[in-house]
Order: sequence, then C-alpha cells, then structure tokens
Amino acid sequence: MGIRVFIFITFLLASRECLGDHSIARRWNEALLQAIRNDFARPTVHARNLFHLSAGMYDTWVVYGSHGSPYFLGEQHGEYSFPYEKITLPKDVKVAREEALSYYCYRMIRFRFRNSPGWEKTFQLIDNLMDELGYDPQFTSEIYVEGRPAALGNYLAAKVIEFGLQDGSNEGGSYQNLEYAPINEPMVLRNPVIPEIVNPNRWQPLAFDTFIDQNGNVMTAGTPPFLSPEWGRVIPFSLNEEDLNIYQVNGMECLVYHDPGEPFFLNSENESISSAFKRNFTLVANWSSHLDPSDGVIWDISPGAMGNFDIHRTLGNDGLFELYLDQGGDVGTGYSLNPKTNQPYEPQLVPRGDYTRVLAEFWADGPSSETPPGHWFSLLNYVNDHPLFEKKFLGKGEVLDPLEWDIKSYFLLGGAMHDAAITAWGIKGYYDYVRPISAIRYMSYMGQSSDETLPNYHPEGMELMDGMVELVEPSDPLSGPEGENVGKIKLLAWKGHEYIETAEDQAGVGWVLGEEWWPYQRPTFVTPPFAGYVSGHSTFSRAAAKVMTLLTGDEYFPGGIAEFVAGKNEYLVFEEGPSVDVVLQWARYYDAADQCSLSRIWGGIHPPQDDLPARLIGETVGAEAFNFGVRYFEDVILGTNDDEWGQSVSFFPNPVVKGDELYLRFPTDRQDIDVSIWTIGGALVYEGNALTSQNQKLIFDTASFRSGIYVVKVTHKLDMVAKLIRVE
Amino acid sequence: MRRIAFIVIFIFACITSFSQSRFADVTETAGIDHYFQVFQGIFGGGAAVLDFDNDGWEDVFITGGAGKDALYKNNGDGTFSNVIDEAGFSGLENIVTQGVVCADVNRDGRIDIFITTIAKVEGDKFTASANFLFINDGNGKFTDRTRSYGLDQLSFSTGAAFGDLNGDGYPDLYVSNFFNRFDGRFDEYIGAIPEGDRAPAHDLLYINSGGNFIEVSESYGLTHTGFGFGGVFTDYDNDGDMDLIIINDFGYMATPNLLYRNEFPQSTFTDVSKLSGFDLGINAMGVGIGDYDMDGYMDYFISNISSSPFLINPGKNNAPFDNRTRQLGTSYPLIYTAEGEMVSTISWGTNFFDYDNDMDLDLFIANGSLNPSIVPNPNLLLENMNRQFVLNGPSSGIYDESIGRGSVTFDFDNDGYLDLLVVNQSPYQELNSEGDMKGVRLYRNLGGDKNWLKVKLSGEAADKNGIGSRIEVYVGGNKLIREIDGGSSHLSQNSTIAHFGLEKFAKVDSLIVRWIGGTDQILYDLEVNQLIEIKQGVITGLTRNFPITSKVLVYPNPVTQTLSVDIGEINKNNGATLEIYTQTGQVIYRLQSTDHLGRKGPIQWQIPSSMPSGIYFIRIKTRTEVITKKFVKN
Repeated sequence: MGIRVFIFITFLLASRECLGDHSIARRWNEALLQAIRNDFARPTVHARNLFHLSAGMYDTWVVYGSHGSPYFLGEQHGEYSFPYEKITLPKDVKVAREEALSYYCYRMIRFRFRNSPGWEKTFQLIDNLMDELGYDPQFTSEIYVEGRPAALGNYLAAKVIEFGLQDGSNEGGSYQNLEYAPINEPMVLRNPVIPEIVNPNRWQPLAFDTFIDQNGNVMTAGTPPFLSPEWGRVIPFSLNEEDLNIYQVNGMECLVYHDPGEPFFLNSENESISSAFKRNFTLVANWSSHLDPSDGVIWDISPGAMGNFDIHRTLGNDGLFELYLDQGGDVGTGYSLNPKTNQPYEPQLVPRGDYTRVLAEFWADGPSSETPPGHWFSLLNYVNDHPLFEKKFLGKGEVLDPLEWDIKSYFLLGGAMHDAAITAWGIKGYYDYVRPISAIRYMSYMGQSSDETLPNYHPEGMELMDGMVELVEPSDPLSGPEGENVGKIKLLAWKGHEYIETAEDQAGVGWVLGEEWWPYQRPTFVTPPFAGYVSGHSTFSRAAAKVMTLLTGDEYFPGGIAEFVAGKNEYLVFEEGPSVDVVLQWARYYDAADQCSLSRIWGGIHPPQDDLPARLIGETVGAEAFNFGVRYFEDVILGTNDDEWGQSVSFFPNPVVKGDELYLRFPTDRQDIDVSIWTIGGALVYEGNALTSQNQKLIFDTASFRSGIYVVKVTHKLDMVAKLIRVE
Repeated sequence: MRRIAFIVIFIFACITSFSQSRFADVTETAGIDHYFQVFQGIFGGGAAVLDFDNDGWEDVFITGGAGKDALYKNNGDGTFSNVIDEAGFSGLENIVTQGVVCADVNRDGRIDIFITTIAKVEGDKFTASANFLFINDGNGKFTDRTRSYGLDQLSFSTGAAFGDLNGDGYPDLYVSNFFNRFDGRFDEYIGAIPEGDRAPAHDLLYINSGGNFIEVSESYGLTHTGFGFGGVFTDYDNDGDMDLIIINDFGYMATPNLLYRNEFPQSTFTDVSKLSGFDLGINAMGVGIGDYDMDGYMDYFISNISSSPFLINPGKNNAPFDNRTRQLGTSYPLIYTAEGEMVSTISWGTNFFDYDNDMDLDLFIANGSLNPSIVPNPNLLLENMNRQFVLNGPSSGIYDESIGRGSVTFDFDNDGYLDLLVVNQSPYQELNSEGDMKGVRLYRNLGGDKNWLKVKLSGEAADKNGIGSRIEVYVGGNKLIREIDGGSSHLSQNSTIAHFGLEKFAKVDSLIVRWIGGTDQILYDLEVNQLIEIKQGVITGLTRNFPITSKVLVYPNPVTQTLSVDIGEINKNNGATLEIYTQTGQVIYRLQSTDHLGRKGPIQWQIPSSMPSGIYFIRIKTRTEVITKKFVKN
C-alpha cells in the first residue's frame, strides 16, 4: 500500500504540479484510481469502472458543449436505452461541465465501491473532493431538464448504474460466476503436494487456508474463485460480432472475441505439442532463477540496449521460443539513438536479479494496486503531465485545453481497456488454462519425461535440463532426512517464501523441489485467481500502448524516454532489494508494454504462450477501440453499423498500406449512395457516389493519400455508415 | 406509458439513495445486552416480536439457550427493559431453549409465547425436555400452561410456527424436531448421523381446538423424519388456506425440504415437495417469505450453507418452483470478511422487508459460524433494484461478523421504516484472535423521506392477530402483498404488523385483507404514513376519505352497459387521467386528456361485453389528487 502511494506521489512530483491545477476530469480519474487501490484487485471489474466513468465524463462534456456525440445519453447499448432530452446550454458551459461531471463521478464511485474493503476511505476521499469543489452530495435530484447540471450528473449516473445491472457483468450478483465451475480441486498451498489435479491443462484454484466443516470435513477457505470467466458476455465498447465465437462448454455459453485457438496441452497425442507445453513452463521456472542480484549477471537496461522488439516478426521452426531468451528477456536490442535528442541513450548497468525483481513488482498490479488497466491510466496521466508533452489530438493541429484532452483520452483508453478485459477474460474463461504454479508443481510431482531408463519416469513429467532441471541424488541436501525426496525433480529457481522471515530477508536462487516451486509473488497472492491463457497484462498493455501511440501521434514517450525510479532497498515489498537504484526506462509506449509482458514470466505467472497471442490481440483491440471511439468526436452521430443497410457496406483492408487499393462493397441497390473521404482533421479528400462503382465495389488507389487516419463516410438518404481507415 | 414513466423515476430514486449507511447499531443505547448461550455448539437462537402489554410499542422475546431467555419490553423512547424476571417464566431453569413464536392461543386478546427446547441440563445430566407454552395473564406475567394445553411431549425441537390450518380462528402449531434422541455427547463433532440416537426426528403438528392442542401429524400425513430446522405456514398457491413448508438440515443425507399442500376443508396435507421442486436436499436453516417480483404470489428464500436457494413461485403456471438465486444476485457461497478474507457463507435467519420504502422487497440474511469453529461471517443486506438484488455490504451498517442465527424485522421506533434485530450466539470456546463476537444486535433503520403504511389486523373469526391472513395493497399500478407471520426466518417470528413502503405515493388506492378462513375486506383511498388497525368485518379507513371521493359520481352502480363518471369539481386543467382497473390492479381502460376530460358533462364509457362481472375500480388522477371509486359490473 505504502509503496503504491509512493509511486503515485513520484509521478505527481515528476510533473511538478499539484492536483489542484488539473482538469476536473483528471481529479475524478485520480479519485477513481484511489478507489480502485482501496478495492479488491479485479482487473475486469475495474477496466469496466474506468470505462464507465470515462464515458460518462465524456457525455457531460459533450452535452454541455457544441461538439461531438454522447456515448450514453440518447443512445442504446445492448438492450438498454438511455433516454435523453436535449438541454438548453447554460451561459457558463465550463462551470456546468464541472458540476455535471463531478456529480456523475461521485454517484458512480459511491455505488460501485460501496462494498469495497476500503469503502470508508473511498467515501471520505470523494466526500472531501465534493466539499473542496463546493458541491453538496445531498443534492440528489435527477430532473435535469431545466434543472441544475448536478441533476444531469445524477441522472446519468442512475442510468449507467441501471445499465450496468444488466450488461452481462453480473454486477448485481457482485460479479460472481453464474455457471463456471473449475474442474480441478484447489491446491492447498500449505501442503505442497498436488495430486488434486484432474486435468493438468486446466486451471486450478489456490487454497490459502482450511477449516473443518459441520460434518467434520476439511474444507478449503480463502480459496478465491476464478475471477470473471464469463466476462466475454459483457457488453463491449467496440468489439465486433465478426470477431466473436460462441462456444458451449458443459452448458456454459462462452463468448470469445479474437479467439487465438488452443494453447499447448500436456499429454497431447501430438508429442511436439506436449513438448511445447513442457518447454513453456520450464522456461518460467528457469527465468525464476534470474531473480538473484548476486549471481554476477549485469545488464544494460537502458533503451539503448533493450526494447524495440517487433511482435509482428515471422517465427521460424522454433516458434515463439525464438523470441524469449534462456538468459531472460527478448530479442529486442534497443535503439541506437533517442530520436527526440538524436543522442544515444545513456547505458544503465544493474544486476539482472534487481532489474527482474523490480519489474515483477512494478507490473504486478495485484493487491492494493490500481490493476493493469488503472496502471495505464496512471501512465497516461504521467505523459499528460510531462513538460515536453503537447496535448495535440493525434499529435496534430491545435493544442487542446486540458479538460478536452483528458476527457477524450480517458474515453478512448477506457474503451480500449474495457474491450481488452472482455477479450482476454472471454478467452481465459473458455480455455480455462493452467497456471505455472500448478503446471510446474504437477509435472515435477509426476517425475521426469526425458529418459525411461532413469528413475521416476512419467510421460507427464518435466524434461531434464542440466543445471536447471535435475533429479535429487541421495547426497543432495534436498534428499530429506529419510531420503524421501531422492529421485524427485529439483529446479534451479527463486527459493520461495519459506526463506523470507522479515522483509529484510532475500530468498535468493538455489535448488528447490519442483513440487514446492513458488512464483515470485506476494505470499498472500501467489498467482492471480484466473486462468493464464491469454495474459491480461499483455492484452491490456499492448492495447493501451496502441491507444497512446495513436492518440499522441507518436510512438515515443515525450522526450523519447520515460522513467520510473525504484530506490535501493526500498522498493521491493516482500523481500529485501533492489541492491542498487533501478530506473525502469522506456523509449516507446510499446517498450513499456513489452516489458510489462516479460515481467509476468519472471513473476512466475505466465509462460510465453500466454503472452505473445495476448500482445497481438491487444494491439488489434486497442486500434479498434480507438477508431471506434473517435467517431464520437464528430459533430453528427455517425451510423453505428448495426442497421441492416449499414451491415451490407464493407470496407477492406484496414489498415491499408499506402499505394494499395482500398475496397468498398455496397448492397445491390446502388441508388442514392454517396461516398466521401475525409481527413481526421475534417478536410474532404474524395467525393463520389456508388453508381461509379463496378460490381458493387468502389476501389481507391491510395497512392496519393498521406499516411494517417481517414474517415470514410457512406450515406444513403438518411442513413450513414462511417469507418476510420488507417493508411500506413 | 405514464405508469412506466413513474416506475422509471422511482427506480432512480432508489438508486441514488446510497448516500449513507442505512442502519445504525443501537443495541447499547437501546439497553439490549443479551447473548444466546450455545449448548455445546451449533444449535439455536431465535426472537419473536410481540406486543405483550398492548401498549402499541412492539416488544421482543429472545431465547437464551443454555443461558437465560430475555423479554425486552419496548419503553417507547428508543430503549428496552428486560422484564423476564418480573414476568414469570418459571420452569425454564436449566432448560436449553432454542426458538420462539407467539400467538393468542386462547383468543383472550393477549399474546402468548411458545418456546422450543432441546434439553434440560443439570451438571453432567442431560435429559430430554418438553417445549414450553406461556399464557399471558394480562398483568405483565406469564404462566406455564404447557401440560394443560397438551404440548408436553419430550422432543429435541428447533423451530416452530403458528398458523390456522382449519380456519377456526385458533392458531394451530407446527414444531420442528432435529434429533430423534440426543444424549448431550460432544465427542468429535456435532453432526448428523442418519441412524441411531442421532437419527432424524419426527415433527409435531398440533391442532388448537380452543384451549387444547391435539397432535395430528399422522392423520394429516406428516409422517416424515428429518433434521428439522423449522417450518412456515404460508399460502403458496393462493387458494386461501395455510400450506406448510418444512426445512431440513442435511437434506442430502435424510429428508430434504418439504412442501405440504393444505387440502382444507379436508383435514389433510398432500406432499407436493417433488412436484413443486421444493425437495432440495441442502443444509436448510431458515425461510424468508415475500413476493419479490410483485406478481401476487409468494416467493421463498431458503437459507443454507454456501449458496442459498431463492425459489420463485410459478404462480398460475403449472410449473415447479424455480431456484433463481444466482440470476437474482442472492447467491453468496463465499463472502468477504472485513479483513478481505474469503469465507464460506453460513446463513440462518432471513427476512424479506422493504427497508428503503421503495415498494419492492429487499432481503436480509443473518450469517454466522457453526460454533465452536469460528470464522467471521458477515450478514448480507440485498437491495431489490428492479428485480435484481444488489449487495449493500460493509457500508450498509449491518455487516456484523458475529455468530448470527435468528433475525426479525419490526418497527420498534414506529417511524415507518423497518428495523432489524439479529440474535447472535456467544462463542462456545474461548476465542483467541477471532475478533469480537457480539451479542444480539438491534439495528435501527435510519429512514428516509419515503411514504409507508402499516397495517395491524384484529381478527374476529380469524386469528386474533391475523396470523396467516394476507394483505394486498394497490398503489401506483402495483400490487404489494404481505402474509402475517406466524414464525419464519430461523427459529423466529417477525412483527405481525404488516409494513408497506410506498415510495412517494401520497395515497393507497385500495387495500384488501384476505382473512384466513375466508372473508375479504376492502378499503379504499387510504392516507399514507399511518398505522391502521383493521378489525375484521368492520369497515375502517373509508370514512376518512369520503369528502374527496364524493366529488366523483359513478353511476349506475352496479352497471350493465354504459357507465357514467361525473368528475365534478376536480381541477381538470392540469391534465387528468381516468383509469379503470380490475381488482388485481390491471388497467383495462385509460383516458388521458388535458382539456376534454369531464368538461362537457359526465364521461360515458361503453362497457365491453367481454368484461367479466365483478368489482372494478375507477381512478381519477390529477396533479394534485388521486380519487378511486369502486363499481360493480353485473
């Protein structure tokens, strides 16, 4: 907790501003982030909270202004309509916006965090904020027509709350699962033998405690259920039905967007698939042996030596293992120059064991954190506060006023985070895939699968690897007083919490029994309570990095670098460290996202195959959410593509590479169809009609187009379909 | 349309009312200091709401288990005094009491008390005990009349319920038993064993023949054995008689829950448990009764270990009850403690009540550890928001983690908002670091600015307190129903005064009492924010409103073809609406106008020939008043 607040303050100090100078949207966003830190670590729930708060803020900005279309008010999402009667604009729009926005956020946070363990702190915080802003929380009227802007805020909150009670999240039932049930019995963490696994390819709950029930049975307690396996059902922001698969699993309907296909399974008939499974999880165990600052391995962790990794590269025979190195990290080799300064990045040499441990904690986003989607809001705020940063939408045109910038950027990032959560958790719920703690302990418990002539052979066992995965010999210190561990699997790994008594201790790296392997996580957390495939961190991070790249029109952080300082022997939470100051540095938003993804491997909770597909999905989701969201900034409500006519118009490919042809396909009847193409800045670059098309297709040569985003509008009488096309 | 608009606005109103904790723990200031002292573990702890001194302030009797019972007299100033020592109650020394229910068993106008017990314990000696019936002498004292009323069977009894099975005005009695025999061993654990000493027990069903109870379980077909935790008399099929729901612990090892349909006027039950889907084999602990979706049929919440079923009444449909607890948001197999730990939920007391007076029924669930094993187990308050329940947890003021058992609702301070009392057990063993296990808790509802109506029944042919009778309130196009409680929740009994939250409605259009035993009584146009006492057969309430209703003339009455409505002096320039609706609140005709309504003489309405004969209502609504008139179609 203290550490998180510390980070938060560091960000603020870096900006050399105090919150009072920030826009009203920023102040409520910070309040929300704090409310999230006071709540359970639920990435899905908070991605939705961040989105609903951001979208509602956006609506209060739109209705008290003259630009853009509201997201909620007057619109329908799913089955739910938000009735709205247009208001007459008050004289002072700025004051009205601030008031409506504040009441909206106040009501929303009050409702959404009423059952939070830190509800008192959160209520206090937002009561104080209302007080400071001069608003009376007791004003509860929702009669906004000819009423106060506060009433509009209250009304909007009431509608969004009501919407949220039927949007598929089961918020009414405290987001509990309606149908999902794990097929594996919980692993009792204290008794480190794990014969409970029915299917080693499937997720296993973790039991932190046990108790005796009424009938004398030993029951697990403190066993967190799978968080949000049914989250694919939630009404998304921009996700498209074309990208949706619906599967039936034991009577449970799984909605999966951007289905990446099956992960590797153990005991597959295809030996190479089983082997890939083993290799994935063995890599996680191996990387946990990097978590010792005293092993003499020193890395340059500056952007001069790290990052600049291309996730779209073609993979060879070794598949994704070509990207993840045995000694840790990926194949990215950094940047020769900072493009903003044209100077090389200054090297930063630190022990690998410090870097990796700091990473694991910085990106943990577990208990008492703002969770991964919130973390990216913090990074966005960090960028917004950067002295070199100019608030130009898409990096072009005029500098926006801080409120407009904050409103729009939160709306787009919120939408992307919400969609990332729905996508990643839809996949998690459907594949229900095992976590490293279960897979590694299970395979180790089974034995070794390398050599039938060696002891303890089992086809589902670990593959032996000299210096990394070996069998316990009789002379081994791990053999046990009675030699009971002889022949078992031992791993070179981070040694786990039993070696830490006080926060000044350090577990270090050494040989441990594989069936007692621990991920580098807090002992009260161990592994997030949901399936691994695909990584939520990677989906969120890549999507957010994509949004920030598009939003700022720049892949690079302001000044070509962003930093976070983890102080020597201060930063780490459950063990001593780091042994030196470690400064996390990123050149591009993607570098931060990639680093976040890798941190989950060192943290022992994701193998590579959870990661890479998630990054690719995140990138798509981020781009789609962005493109979908910016439509709302237009002054007319654009077609929402959900009417039949709109469905029959298609645009492809998108993005289109400059010089390639862009196709528009129309319905059979081509009468009265007009087509226009606009720059995102509003300049008309093409105008025509469908009668000029051939075979219901209109083909553009994009050679004359400059790279960037274009709005293609197709109108048919009063209908309009618009799509953002990116020319690259 | 207009009605829908109204409903929508009210939903908003309830949503935004999350501005503060809804309940305040006033136990200490109210002078309540009581624990249920558990005997060995698990069993017991109930409360019954009663007005034993007929002073208009509801009192509460709370069992004490191995300790002393308590009778808390409501002083009317927010405090209570325990008068158990002055009030008689002799013979309870060394008795381990469990639950309590009250009724006027001898119809003398004074409420009597029935207490269930599991045993008598003296030193190491453990002997079976009878339950206790205490007759109210009217001078603040109670006398043990168990034997003379024929209730002195030895039994290991948990819950009980009063209800008039045969419509004779005398409350009959169901008593739920757990073990066949139990000799007070506390070896490895207290649990159920399907055979031997700890085999499940037969239950008891007594017909009150006017001063004497006759055990009739066999002739009524009540022959099951089960690990009973109580039962409720309720009219699940709206046929005007008391059916019986029985809930059993360890239903998966022995007899599951049961639903017996009363075949009145025959003196027998039919077991419809399977047919109705009521036969859940669970660890049932208690029952809450309420029509959560306002469809005119009672729904039932059965408290349990882990997820508790919420059984939706199929109504007229020939379908079994549907357990929709997950979909409705009332299933909490696990719950977070204040420390943020996740624990298995163990639910006992449960009550439907409209705590925020927004017209729909909310749900309270009292949770508690099994005891002696103690895990903090916070209570649940679930608010009905448009038929979806949402948890109001720590910020609601009732998130107590003590060892909860029975729970009751009543309006102890007569402010029109229902308060809550939860019976908590004392920990059987010394606690080390398991936190503060509190005794009985009284939670005062902090109220709000919404309207309400309370109804107290005074039976003539029916039970003196109207136990089992049903009250229907019609307001804003909604029908709200309540049954007068003769024992429910866990080993407990709620107030026998029915409470209706009325949102911001200024009038109740009509109120129907369906007296158990047959007769109906209808009242129109009632003022809100009042307690009305309805004496069976005597029209009350109407006179108060005659001056207003007289402005509207409806004729001829009864009518055959054309109905004339003269709305006379009503200010109709503000947009008046005329509605004609059925007894069940269904609107069959609506006329809405800003100008023409009634301006050119009486409104003429041609009655459709298809309209069935019977009683109908006309409602004229303007911005300032609502007037309801009744007419009969021949």
